[in-house]
Amino acid sequence: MKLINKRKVLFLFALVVFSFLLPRYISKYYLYVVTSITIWIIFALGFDILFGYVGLTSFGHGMFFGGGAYTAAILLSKFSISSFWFLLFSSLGVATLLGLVAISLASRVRGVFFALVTWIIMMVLYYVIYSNPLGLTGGEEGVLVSKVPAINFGLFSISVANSVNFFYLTMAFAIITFFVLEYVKNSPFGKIMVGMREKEKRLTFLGYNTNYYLYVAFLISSCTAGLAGFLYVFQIGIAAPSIAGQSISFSVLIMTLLGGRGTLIGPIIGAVLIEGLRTYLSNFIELYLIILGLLYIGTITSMPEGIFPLLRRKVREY
Amino acid sequence: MFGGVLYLILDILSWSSTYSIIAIGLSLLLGLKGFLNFAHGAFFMVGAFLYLTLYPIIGFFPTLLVVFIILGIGGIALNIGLAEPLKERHAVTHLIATAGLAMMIRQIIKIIFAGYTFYCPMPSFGKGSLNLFSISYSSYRIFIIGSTISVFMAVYLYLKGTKMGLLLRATTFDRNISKTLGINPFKVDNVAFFIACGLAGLAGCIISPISGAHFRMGQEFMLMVFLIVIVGGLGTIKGVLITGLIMGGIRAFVSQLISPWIAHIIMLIFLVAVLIRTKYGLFGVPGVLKH
Repeated sequence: MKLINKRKVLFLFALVVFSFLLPRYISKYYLYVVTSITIWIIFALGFDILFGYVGLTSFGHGMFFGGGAYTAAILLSKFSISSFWFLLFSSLGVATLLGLVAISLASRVRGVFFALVTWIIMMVLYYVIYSNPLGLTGGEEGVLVSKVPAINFGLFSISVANSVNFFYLTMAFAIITFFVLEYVKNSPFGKIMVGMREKEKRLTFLGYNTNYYLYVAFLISSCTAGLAGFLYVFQIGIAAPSIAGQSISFSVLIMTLLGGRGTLIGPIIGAVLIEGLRTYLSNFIELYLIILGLLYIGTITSMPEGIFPLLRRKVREY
Repeated sequence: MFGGVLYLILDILSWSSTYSIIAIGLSLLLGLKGFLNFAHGAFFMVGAFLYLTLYPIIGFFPTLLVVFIILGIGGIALNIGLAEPLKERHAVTHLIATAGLAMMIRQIIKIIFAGYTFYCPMPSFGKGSLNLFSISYSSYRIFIIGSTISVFMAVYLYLKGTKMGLLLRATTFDRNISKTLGINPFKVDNVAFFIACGLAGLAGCIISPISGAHFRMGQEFMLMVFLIVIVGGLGTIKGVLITGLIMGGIRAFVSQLISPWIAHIIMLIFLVAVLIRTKYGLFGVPGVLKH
């Protein structure tokens, strides 16, 4: 497997140039929208590792997203810790820890049960957050977040508080996530994940401990979700209980499903489409959720493979 | 002392029957048709809102009947629209599709009724309290206990005692053989969906006077119901009854003594304990769902 090839370098170069030039040509509002889309792309990419490659449906990814978001918000607002790196790594750590708890419970089961058990854990966490334990989570009002702290590189520090720099930060994380997951996908580990999706029993016959691979894939997935949550809380400025609720989980599920599971391009397409739709319908947010429900049913009944694999197949046939 | 114990027993019974009456429809559909309906909570919630609308017009018991029929027809629509096209697909597909359906129903209700919690009027016989031995207990809660027991009895007798119940069990047992014997499985499926979704609506009617009606009430109750169904084992009515009792017990005890969110965590720990012991729940058997 080649880690670096010409196509990837070109792609990376194009992405970097694109993201540097973008803030110059669009208004502040659209920059905000693009930043949101980028955060959702990170989340959907992480979700796809589990949903697309390992082939297990999680209904509870909102808890890692919310876990990351709440950790950053609580540490910043209640304990006034303002080191960017500390906030980042504690968010990732909490999300991964939650992932470890969730998977050690859910790895007992597969299929429908897996979805339900992750959903149950998420809902329990949601109610715990909602009922404001120890006065930390602020109950229904949530935790307000001030500006994102500056990134300290030792010799110099960069402020990411303004929207352009925050967009660069998000884009940088998205690019890193994409290439890390691309690496994971192409590694032998990724092949085993696909094997689990196709026929788990056969892998166990070959002597693989499939639970181990499931754990690692789930932790990667939840850590990425934590990263997305960390960025999201600074984007919207508040960590409210709905950030850890089921609407987040179902949004990321439909993004991956619609875009095309089992590819890394698919979730990006899905995130752009769904988040774009949400922005387009932002004045009719109830209508948006109805359309989202319709998209669920429509995608699962008539286009289960998703947009990107469908297009790819059509192009190849052509 | 005796009064306290009796009070606790009634509390446990009333909580567990609240959960069990919601769980029975879900478990029935799961056991008979292998269809896991994530929108069950949404149907339940629609039942509560229909009760809110219809009760002032036609009274309590007619409302129960009308809501049962309306939601039952909704269930048939669910079968024709979603379950039948997705019959051969993986069970997760059903779950995702019905999750989308639940989202839609919830939003439609939210648009119609806005996001308020509505106080649902209590029927006249439910106001006040009954005197049992030395204590007095809310008579509507006793009505809930009684109606749960009668719903369970009715479902049991229907499945074991009538021709349609026999057909339902036969198509579950072997669909192809039933086809060769001249049964139309599609029609039988419709009956199962009618009963299951109708029961969800009925549960919504019966619970709403004590819980109020809110567009998000479905997911609050569904958390408990899915816990009960997973811990009890998929598709077993006995499992629903016994786990419902256990969960109701935990809920009644811990909520009174400490706080509701601790109760949630203890139930989660209970789920962990059961899942470590067995994959299929306490009374479940393998092979209810197509994997």
